[in-house]
Amino acid sequence: MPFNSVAETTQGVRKPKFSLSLNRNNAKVLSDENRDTENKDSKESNNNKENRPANKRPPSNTYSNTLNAAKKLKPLTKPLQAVETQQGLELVVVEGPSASPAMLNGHHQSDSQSVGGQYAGSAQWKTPIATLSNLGNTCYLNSVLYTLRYAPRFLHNLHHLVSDLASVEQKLGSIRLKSSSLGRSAAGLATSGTRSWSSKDLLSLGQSDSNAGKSKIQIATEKLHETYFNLRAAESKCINSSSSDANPEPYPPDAFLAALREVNSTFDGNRQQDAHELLVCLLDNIRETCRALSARASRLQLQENGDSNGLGRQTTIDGEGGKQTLGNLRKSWKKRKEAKEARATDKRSSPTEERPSEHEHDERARPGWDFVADDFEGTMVVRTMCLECETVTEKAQAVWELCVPVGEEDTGEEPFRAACLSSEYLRDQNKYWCERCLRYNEARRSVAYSRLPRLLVLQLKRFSGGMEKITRHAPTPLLMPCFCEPCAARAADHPPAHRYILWAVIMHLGQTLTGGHYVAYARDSGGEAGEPRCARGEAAAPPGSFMRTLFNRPRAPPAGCAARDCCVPRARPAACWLACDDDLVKPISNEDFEDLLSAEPKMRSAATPYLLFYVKSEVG
Amino acid sequence: MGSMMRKKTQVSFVIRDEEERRHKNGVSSLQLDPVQGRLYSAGRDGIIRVWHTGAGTQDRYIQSMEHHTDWVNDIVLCCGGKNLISASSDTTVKVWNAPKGFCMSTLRTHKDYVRTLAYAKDKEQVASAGLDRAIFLWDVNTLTALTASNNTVTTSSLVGNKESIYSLAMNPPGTIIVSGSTEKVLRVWDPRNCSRLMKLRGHADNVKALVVSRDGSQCVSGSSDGTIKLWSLSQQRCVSTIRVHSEAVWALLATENFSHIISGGRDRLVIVTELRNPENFVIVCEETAPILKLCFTADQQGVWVSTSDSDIQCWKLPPLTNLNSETYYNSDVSKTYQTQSLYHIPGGRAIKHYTVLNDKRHILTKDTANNVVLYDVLKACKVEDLGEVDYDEEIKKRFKMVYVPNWFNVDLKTGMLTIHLGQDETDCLSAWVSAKEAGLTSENDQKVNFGALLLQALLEHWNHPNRVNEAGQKVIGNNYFNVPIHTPLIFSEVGGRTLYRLQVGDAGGETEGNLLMETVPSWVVDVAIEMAAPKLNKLPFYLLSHSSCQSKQDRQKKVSVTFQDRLVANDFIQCRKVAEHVVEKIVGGGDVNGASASGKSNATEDSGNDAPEERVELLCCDQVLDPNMDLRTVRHFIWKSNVEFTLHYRVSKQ
Repeated sequence: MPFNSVAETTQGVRKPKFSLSLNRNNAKVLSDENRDTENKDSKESNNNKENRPANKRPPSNTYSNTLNAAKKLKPLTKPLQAVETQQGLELVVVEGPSASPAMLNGHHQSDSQSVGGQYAGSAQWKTPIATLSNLGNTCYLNSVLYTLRYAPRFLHNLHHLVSDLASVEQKLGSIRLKSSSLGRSAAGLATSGTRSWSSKDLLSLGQSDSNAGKSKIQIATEKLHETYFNLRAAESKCINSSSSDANPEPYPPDAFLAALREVNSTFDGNRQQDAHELLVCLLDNIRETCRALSARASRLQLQENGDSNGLGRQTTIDGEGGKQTLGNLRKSWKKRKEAKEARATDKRSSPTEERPSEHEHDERARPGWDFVADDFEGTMVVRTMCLECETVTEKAQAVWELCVPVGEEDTGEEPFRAACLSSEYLRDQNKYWCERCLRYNEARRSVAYSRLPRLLVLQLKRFSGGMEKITRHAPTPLLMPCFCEPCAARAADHPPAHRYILWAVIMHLGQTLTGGHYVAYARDSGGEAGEPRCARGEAAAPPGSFMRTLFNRPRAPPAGCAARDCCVPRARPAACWLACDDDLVKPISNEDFEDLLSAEPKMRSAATPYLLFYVKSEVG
Repeated sequence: MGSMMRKKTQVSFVIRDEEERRHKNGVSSLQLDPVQGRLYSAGRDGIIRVWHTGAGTQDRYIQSMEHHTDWVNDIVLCCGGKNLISASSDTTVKVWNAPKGFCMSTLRTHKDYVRTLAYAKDKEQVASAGLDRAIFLWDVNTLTALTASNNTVTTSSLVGNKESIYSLAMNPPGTIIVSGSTEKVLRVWDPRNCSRLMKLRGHADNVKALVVSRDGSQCVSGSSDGTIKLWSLSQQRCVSTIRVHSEAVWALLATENFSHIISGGRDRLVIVTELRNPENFVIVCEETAPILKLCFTADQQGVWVSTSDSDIQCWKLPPLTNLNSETYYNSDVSKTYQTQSLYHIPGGRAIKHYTVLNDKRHILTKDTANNVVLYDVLKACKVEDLGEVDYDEEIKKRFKMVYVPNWFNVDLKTGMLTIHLGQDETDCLSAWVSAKEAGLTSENDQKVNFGALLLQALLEHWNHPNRVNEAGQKVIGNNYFNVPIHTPLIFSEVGGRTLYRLQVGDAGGETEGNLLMETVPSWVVDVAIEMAAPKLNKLPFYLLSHSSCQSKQDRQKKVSVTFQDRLVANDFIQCRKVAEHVVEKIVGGGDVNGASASGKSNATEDSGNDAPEERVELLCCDQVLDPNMDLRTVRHFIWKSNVEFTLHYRVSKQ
C-alpha cells in the first residue's frame, strides 16, 4: 500500500500518531433515552481525577489493558511502517476492550435503567472536547458537523459504511491484481480471526487506492469520516498528554469542505450558507455512497462467483437498481424485507425499535445498507377526498425533514403536531378536479405521516417571503409525543407508542436571512454514540459465507465494533448539553440550555432555533 | 355595457341528441307528484326529467326540463305540483312550471354551487343553500309571480354558517330549519325571524342528509362519518347514534310519524331502521352505485332510489310494524329484503373518456358501457357510433401527422360532451386550416378558421342589426354548414357562473336577441356577425442552405445570421410554398446552379416541367419534408420546439 500519500497533508501525518490510543473506551449501549451515569464515570475515573469515585462495580482492567496495548504500539508512531506490521499490531490492540464483555453488559443494563440521568456537575468539564475551526464563514458547516457528531448512532453507521467501502474496494482490487502487495494484504486480512477494521486501515486504504477511481461523492463521505476521526484523535491526544486540562487544537475541516465543494459547487467560495442545505447535501452524499457500495458489493460477489448465502438477493436488487430512483430502490428493499418478515414472524418491523429483528440485523450488516434512509427518512401521506363522491386519492412521499412554519398562535403542548398534521379544504376558487366526477368539486386534503424517522429533523420556517427573518419565539419542547399515523390514531387516553427526545438544536443568530451565525447545541449522551449490540458483530453469518470472508466478522460475540475506537466522540462522564460555536465548545447545564429555548431567556441573545433534531424512543 | 370589471365570457355548447330521454349521469334528487302520479328526477346531466309512475311497462318518459348547464343537485315540488324549484352547480336556483316543464325564472343570488333545498309545505317557503355558505329563504308564491318586468325578489338570508353547506331541512310549518355542513355541526334557525337557535355537535365529518319532524322537535342527520344521529331539538342533544351503514350516509327519508328512518349512502345499501330501537333494521336492497336520494311511492309501501348511476329504481319496503332483521333475510342467498326492484327506469350512458384527434376537430369518446363514438366538434354532431370497440386502437388508427392549434376544451362533467371554445380571440381563433382538407370545399387554397366558422354557425339565427354587408345584403352563418338547432349554447363567466343559455335555433327571438346583445363578447360579434377575418398566426423561422450548415449546432456557431435568413410566414403554409420562395428568391438568382441561370420570372409562373418542390428540397433536422406538410406541423412533429425553428433547403440533383 503506498503510504506516502498519507504524508501529503498535515492531518495525514497526525493520524498515525494519534491512533495508538484508540482502543481505550468501550462502546456503550445506545438507548434513546440514555444519559450515562455512574457506571460511565467508573470507567473514566482513571483519566479524570475529579470524577466521582467508582461505584459498586469493580473497576475493570480495561484501562490497563489499553495502556499496555498503547505501549506496544508506541514504536509504530515514529516511522510510517509497512502495512502488514501495522495491521499485525492493530489486531492485538483490539483485543483490549473485547476482553471485558461483562463491562459491556453492565453498561447495557445501566443505560437502560438510567433514564433521565442528571447533569453531573462541573467536574466533568475538564474532559477535552475537540473543536472545529472556522475556515471563513463556515459556521454552517461546523454546526452541522457538530450536530452529526453527537447524533445517536450516526457515526457508528458512517464508520461501517466507510469501512465496508474500503474493504469491498480492496477486495475488488485484490481480485484484479492478485499478485500485488495489495492482494497480499487483503489475503492477510481475510485470515485474521478477530480483528475489526480500524480507522487506520480505512484512512490508509482510502488514500492509497488512488482517488482517481473514486467518485467525488465517495471521497466526500470518506473525508467526512476522516474529519470525525481526527476530532476523536485530538481528544485522545489531550487525554494522553500529561496536563489533564489541555484543550485540543481546533481542527480545520478543510479537507472535507474541499471534497464537498467537488460534489456540490453551491458551497464554493467563502459565502455564508444555509445549514439545512448543507445537511441535506451531506446526507444525500452518504446515501449515494451507500448505493455505490451496495452496487460494488454485489459486483464483488458476482466476481467471486462463489457462495451466495450472504448477498444473493442483492444481485437482483442492483440489477434493477441501476436506473432506479433512490425511492424505488428503497421500496424494493423494503418490499423484500417485508415479504421476508411476513413469512418469518408476524412482528412489526421498524428499524427504530430498540431490538431490531434478525432480518434487520441482516439488512443492517449488509454492505451499502442505506442507514440514512432508515434514520432520516419518513413517509408523508397526502390524502385528498372529493366531497361529492368521497373517493380518496392517496399519495405517499419520502420526507427528510418536517418544515414547521413559525406561526402566529401558540399551539400549546404539541407545537409541531398541528403544523405537521394538517387538513384543509380545497374550495371556492381552489376546487379540486375529481377524476371520478370529471369536474371541480370541493375536497378535503390532509397530510399525515405513516412513518416518522428515528432521527427527526424539524426545520423552522423563519421566512416571511422577503429577506426578513421571523424572530418570533417558537416553543422547542425537549420531549414530544410522536404524531406518526399509528400514534396519532390512538385514543386520547392511550399514550403514543413513541416519543421524540431533543438531541440537538442548530440556532441561527442574526436578524436577516442573508447572513448571521450558526451555533449548534448538541446533547452528548455521555458515552460514545455507538450501537449497543453492533449488528455487525452479531450478524450470524454461516461459516465460510461471503459476508464473513468479506468482512472478516468474528464469530464469537464481539466486544462492540471498531467504530467506538475510531471516530465517535470520546465518552464523557455524564450526559450534558454542549454549546458548539466553531472553535469554542463548552458544556452547559440543562438549566442554561432550557433557558436558552424559553420565550424569555435570562441570557438574552439574538439566537433563534432553526433546525431541531429529535431522536425517537419507544415508550414503555 | 357592463361594468369595467366584467369577467371574460366563455362560449360553450353541448353536442347531444335533440331529445335525450334518459339520464346520462347520476340522479341527485327525486320528487313525487302523488296526484298526477309523476316522478321528477334531477340529473347530473343538467336535465330534470319527468316520468310516469303508474304500473305497467310502457315507456315512462314524459318530458325533459332543460335549462341548467351543470349538475342539478336538488329539486322540490311545491304548490301542489304546480311548480318545481331546482338548485344547480351552475350556481342558480330555477323556478319551473312543473306540468309544462318550462323555466319561469332564474335566481342568481348564490355565488357557488347550490347544493341543497328545503321546503316548508304549509307556508310554501323554500330555502336554498350551497358552497357559498349562504342560506336564502324564498317565498314560492312570490317566485312564481316573477315576470320579465317584475323581476326583483326580496329574500331573507340566514347567516352564521362558516363552511360549505351540503344539506338543509325544514319542517312543513316552517318553524325550524337545520343545515349540515363540512363544519360537522348542525346549525338550527327559526326561519320566521331568522334567529339562530342552536348548534349541535357530534358528527365527525360532513353532514349530507337531514330530516326534521313535523313539529320541529326532532331531527335526523346522516353524515360522511357513516353514522345517523337522532337529535332532540327541544333538548338540544343527540338522542341516539345509529350505525347501520359501513360508509358515508348520503340520503335519508323519515316516515310521516317519525317512527322509522330509511337511509342510503356510499355503501349502496338502502336500510330501514326503527328510530327508537335502532337494533331493529332491515336492509331493503343493494343498489349498484352509491345512493343519492330516496323518495316514497304514493302509497308509502315502496321507495324510489336514485344513485350516482343513471338508473332509477323503485323497491318494495318491508312492513314497518314488525321490523326484525331475522324475519326478512333470505337465509344465505342474500341479506337484503328485496333482490328485484318493483320498477326500473333505465338510464343512459355517461361519456367518461375523450380524446381530441390531431385534426382538432374530431373527438373520440368512450362511455360507461365502453361504447366508442366519434364526434365532429365543428359541426356539433355525432359522426359515428363505433360500438364496443378497442378505444385505444381506434385512436391509433386515426392518428394523422398534422398539427392544428388548440381552439377548444372538452368538459364531461354532465356525462355529455360540452365544448368550451377558447376564452378569447387568440385562443378560439387560432386554428386556420385548408378548407379543402377539412372537406368543406373542393376549391384550392382557401383557408378557413375553425373557431370563426363555428361561431358563425352557432349564432346564425341571431337577428343582429349589423348583420348586413357592404352591398346591403344579409349575411347569415358561414357558407359551409349549419349546426343542429337544438344545440344548447351557453355563455358563462370563465370558470364560473352561467350567464345565459339558449338553443341555437331560438336565437332569432326578440327576448333572446336582447339577452344576446348583453352577453355575447364583442370579439365574438366581430367574427360571427360582422364577419371580420380573424388574425393569422405568424410563425418565424430560419431558412438556411443545407450544404453550408447542417445542423442546429452549426447554425449556432455561426457568429451572425443575416437578416435574410429569418422569415415569417403564416403557420399553415405548406412546405411547397417555402420551396417556391427558395426557387424565386434564392436559387432562382442563378448563383447556385449554372444551368438554371434564368431570371426570376420564368422560375415561378411558367415552370410547367419542374415544380419548385421538385427543384428544391426542404429539410428540418436532416429530414426531407413532404411539400404538403405545413410549417406548424413540421415544427411540432419534427423540430419539436418552439424556439429557433430552422429549415434548410437543398437543390435537388437532377
